[in-house]
Amino acid sequence: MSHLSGVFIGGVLLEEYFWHASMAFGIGPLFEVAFGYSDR
Amino acid sequence: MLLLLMNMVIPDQYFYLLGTLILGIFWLVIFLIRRDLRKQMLKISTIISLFGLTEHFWYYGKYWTPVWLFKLPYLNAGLEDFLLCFFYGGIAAALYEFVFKVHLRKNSKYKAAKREKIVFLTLLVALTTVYFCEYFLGIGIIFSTGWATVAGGLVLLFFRKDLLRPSIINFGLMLGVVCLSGKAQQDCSFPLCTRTSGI
Repeated sequence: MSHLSGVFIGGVLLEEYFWHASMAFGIGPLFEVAFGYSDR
Repeated sequence: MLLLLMNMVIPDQYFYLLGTLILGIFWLVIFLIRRDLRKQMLKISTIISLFGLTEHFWYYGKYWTPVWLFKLPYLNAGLEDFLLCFFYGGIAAALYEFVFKVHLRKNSKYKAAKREKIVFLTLLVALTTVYFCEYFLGIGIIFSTGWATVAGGLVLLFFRKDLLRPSIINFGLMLGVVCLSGKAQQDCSFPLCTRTSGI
């Protein structure tokens, strides 16, 4: 039971962290492309 | 222990809002310190906040069942969802520039019309990816939407290869933000709602 709980909590954390980070991966460049910004 | 105390004194419907506002602290810090990014942060935050509506169509019941303080009529969504997306949009857009003290300026090689087409294509690819992952591959909605933003990001990088490094670093930086705020945020937002979907 505790093993299953661990798997569940691990799965929840994995999907949470992946979701948050992937948002940054996609939204970061979206901002610069949409508004035509560059640091160069 | 802190969570237990909070559970005893704070009504259930405040937890999601509280968790969202913890993320809002990061947004506010960037907004106050980097005056040059304020206008852009407000723009992208406003646009991304509209994705709060996805709570009704994608997440509610499939991934979790949050308790809202400001629930919207006729929708399984609340003001908290829009606020969460608002903060995510601003943080994700400005995080790399904030950490590495990068100052942006208008200097795109694409004109406005072309940029609009790229953004439209990006949204189309992202949306298609969500439905492909969920309905054809049977992947849970949280991973489906995660892969969708990665797919959308790859479309953008196809046109702007100079953004590859910032995007990858942004991915890592957001992990850092989540590690710093995520535990408290999750403790505040999630203990009193039901998670309905795993990997």
